[in-house]
Amino acid sequence: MTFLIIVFLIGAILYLASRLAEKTHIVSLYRREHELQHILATSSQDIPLTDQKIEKSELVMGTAVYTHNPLKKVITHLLSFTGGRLTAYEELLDRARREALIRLKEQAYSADMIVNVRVHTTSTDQPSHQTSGNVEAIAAGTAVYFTDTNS
Amino acid sequence: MDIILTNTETVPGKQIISHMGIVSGQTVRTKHIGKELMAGFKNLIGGELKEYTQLLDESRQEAVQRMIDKAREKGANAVVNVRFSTSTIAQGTAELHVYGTAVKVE
Repeated sequence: MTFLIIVFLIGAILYLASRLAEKTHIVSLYRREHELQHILATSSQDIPLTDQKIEKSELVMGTAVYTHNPLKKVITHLLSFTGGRLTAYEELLDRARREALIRLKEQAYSADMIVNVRVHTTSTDQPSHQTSGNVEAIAAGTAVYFTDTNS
Repeated sequence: MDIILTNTETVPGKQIISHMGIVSGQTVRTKHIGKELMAGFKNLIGGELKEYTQLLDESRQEAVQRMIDKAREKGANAVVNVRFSTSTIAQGTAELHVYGTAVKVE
C-alpha cells in the first residue's frame, strides 16, 4: 500500500515538473521571439528592391525535437480514440516549430533578412510503442546580407 | 572553394551560368538502445530531447556535407533550392534526405 502511494507521489511530482517545464519553455519562446523580431523572416523568395547590393547569402537551419511526458503520452493516445481536436499534439508541434524557427534566426543573427523560410515537421514515434508524441521540426531559410553602405 | 548553399531558386545577387543537375545526400540514423533508455529515463518530464536534437543536427550536417561533396565533384560552386525530407524507414530508424540543384554562379 505504501509502495503504491510512493509511486503515485513520484508520478505526481514528475507530472507537475513537466507542466512547469512546459510553461517555462512557452514563456521563453515568447521572450526570444520578441528579442529576434528585428530579423525579417519571410516565406517568399522575393528580396525587396533596394539599391544596396547583396554581399552574401547562406543557408541557415534550426532543429528541435520535442516530446510529451509519459503520462501525457498515454492520455493523448486514449483521447485519440474519441476523435476531434487533439490540443496536446497541437501544442507540442507549435513548441517544436517555434523553437526551430528561433534557432534559425539565432544562426543568422547578423543577417538583414531571411528568405524562403520553410519548416518541416516529422513524427519520430515508434509504431510498436502504441504511444506517440515525438516530434522533430527542421526550419531552413536563406540568410541575405546586404553590403553596409551606411555604417 | 567554398560552396554556397541556398534554399531559393537563385543565389541572391549572383547569376547562374550553368546547371549540373540534382545532387543529394542522405543519412540514416537510429536510436541507440542504451541512449534511448537513458533518454527515456532522463525525460520522465517530457520537453526537449537534447540527445535527439544533437543526433538530428549531426545527421543533417553529414547529409549536407555529402551533398556538397557531390556538387564539388561535378564542378559546381553553389547548390540552390535545397530541400529536406525525413522519412521513417523501420522501427526507430529515420532517413534524412537533402537535395538541391548544383549550379555554377558568378
